[in-house]
Amino acid sequence: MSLLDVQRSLVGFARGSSTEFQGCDNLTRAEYEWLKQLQDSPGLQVTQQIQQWWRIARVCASAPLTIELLKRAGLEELIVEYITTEPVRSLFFVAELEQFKCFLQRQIAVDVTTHRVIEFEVALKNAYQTSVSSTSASAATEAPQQFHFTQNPIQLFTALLTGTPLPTAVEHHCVIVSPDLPQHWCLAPKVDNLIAKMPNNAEQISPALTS
Amino acid sequence: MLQQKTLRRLGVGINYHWDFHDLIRNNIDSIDYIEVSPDILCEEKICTDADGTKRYFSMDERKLQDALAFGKLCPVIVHGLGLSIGSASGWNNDYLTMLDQYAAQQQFLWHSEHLGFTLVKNQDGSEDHAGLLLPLPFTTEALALLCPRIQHLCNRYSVPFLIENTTYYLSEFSTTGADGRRWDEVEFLNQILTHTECGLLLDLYNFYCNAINFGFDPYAALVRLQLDRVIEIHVAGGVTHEGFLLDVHSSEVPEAVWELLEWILPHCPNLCAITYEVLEQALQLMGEAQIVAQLKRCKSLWNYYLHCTCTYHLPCTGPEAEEMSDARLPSQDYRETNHVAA
Repeated sequence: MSLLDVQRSLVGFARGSSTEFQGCDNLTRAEYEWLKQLQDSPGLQVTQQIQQWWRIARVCASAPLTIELLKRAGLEELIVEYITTEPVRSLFFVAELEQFKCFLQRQIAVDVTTHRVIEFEVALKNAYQTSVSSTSASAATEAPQQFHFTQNPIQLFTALLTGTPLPTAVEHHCVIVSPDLPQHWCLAPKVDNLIAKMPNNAEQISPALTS
Repeated sequence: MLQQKTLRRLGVGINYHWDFHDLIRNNIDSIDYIEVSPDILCEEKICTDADGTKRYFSMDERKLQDALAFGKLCPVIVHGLGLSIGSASGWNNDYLTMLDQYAAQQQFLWHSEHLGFTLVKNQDGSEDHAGLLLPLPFTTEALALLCPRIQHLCNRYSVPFLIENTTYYLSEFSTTGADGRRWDEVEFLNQILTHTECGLLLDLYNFYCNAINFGFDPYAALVRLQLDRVIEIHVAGGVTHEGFLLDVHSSEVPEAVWELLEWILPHCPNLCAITYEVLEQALQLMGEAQIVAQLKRCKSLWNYYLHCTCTYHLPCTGPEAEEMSDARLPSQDYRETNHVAA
C-alpha cells in the first residue's frame, strides 16, 4: 500500500505539486522523510524540467497554429500554466492536444479565433488518425466536422506558418475536416471569388499542419 | 521435458523510427537488426468516466507497414515504452493488448521494458501520467510487485523478456537486505534476476549517467551485477544539464561509455545484441554519416566480442521452464565463479 502512496507523491512532485504527498496516509516514516527531502532536491528540479520539455514539445508539434496565435496575443504564459497545472494524462500527441484544447476552452482571455483554430487542429489530428487507424473508427470520428472562421482561413494559416501579419478583413468561411478528404480538410464549397483565385490551398499548407 | 532455446547472436542494431527509413535502407548491410518500440506506431485515446480512466491504443497502419517492411529485411526485437511495469495501481493493460496485435503480425526474438513506472491511479479512480519514466524504490515491496509481472512477461510471447535499467535523477530509497546492507540499483537488479527468468537489457549509458550523477564507480558496481544474464546492451549519448547527465539519446556515445562497453563485453557470455539508441531528432543534428559511424564503432566492438566468447544457451520460457532446476538457470554465485576485475 505504501508503494502506491510513494508513486502518487512522486507523480505529483514531477509536476510541482505536493498536494498528493500531503494527502498520503500510508507512508512509512522513512518514506515520508525521503519524499520530504526530495522536494527541494536538484534531482527533482531536473525531473520536472524534463517532463516539461517533453510536454511543451508535444503541444508545440501538434498545435503549431494555436501556439503561434497565443504568442502573437501575448498569451504564452497560458502554455506554461497548462504544463504546470494540468496533470499529465499521456505521452501521446492526440491525447495531449485534446487536453490542451479543453484547457484553452476554459480560458476567458483566449479569443474566438484561437478557440476555432485549436478545434480545427484537434479535428485534423483525429481525422488523420482515423484515416490510418487499424481499428474501426466511431461514427463521431468518421463524420465530417465544420468550423466557422471570421477570417480567411487560408490567409490566416499562411500568416501563422510564415510569420507574416494576420488578415484583418472580416470574412465568413467554413472549413470542413474529414478523414475522407485527400488532405483531411478543405474550405467548404461555398467560397467567395477571392478565395477561389488564391494560389494557396489546403494541399500546400497541410504538410506543415500534419507533420 | 526440458528444452533449451538458443538465442541468436544478432550483432549491432538501431532503434526503428520511420524518419530513419532511408538511413536503415542505405545501411541495411551493416545493421543486423532493428529494435522496434510498438508504442511509437500508435496514438492513444483516453476516456475518463465513472469507472475510471480507460486507454485505447490505435495503430497507425502507415507506420506499422513501414516497420513490417523492415521486418522482412532483418530480425526484429521489441523495446516497450508504455507498460509502466512498476505501477502499484496496475500496469497498462492496453500496452499488452497493443503488443499482442503487433506480435500477431511481426515475429520478434525478444521483448523488453524499462524498470520504472509512469502511471498512477488517484483516490478518485482517475489516472495520472508522470510525463516521464520515474524510478522505483529499491524495496522488497517493489520487488514483490515486479517479480510475478516479469515472470508473466517471460511466458506470454514464448520469447525471452528483458528488463532494462534506467536513468534516474532522484536519490534512491531502498530496503536493507538480510546482510544488513542497503539495496542499491545493482542489488535490486540482481534480486529481480534471481527471482525471475528474465534477461537483462543493460543500458550502459543509463548506468553511466547514474554513476556520474550520484558519484559511484560504474566499474566497481557492474562487477556485482549478474552479467551472465545480459542479453542486450544499449549505448547512447546525451547532454549535461544543471550538473546532471541526461538520458536523451541526442548525440554520440561518450568516450567513457565506449570504454565501459569494451571492458564489459568479455564478461557477458550470453550477449546477443548491441543497440545504438538515438532520437529521430538527432538525425538533423548529427547527420546520417555520424550515426552510421556510431554503428560501425559498435560493430568493431561486437567483432571483438565474438572473438573472445564462445557458444551459450538460455533457459526457455513457458511452462517447461518451471521444471528447470536452479542449476540450469544463471546462478546467483556469479561473483564467486565469474569474478571480473575492475
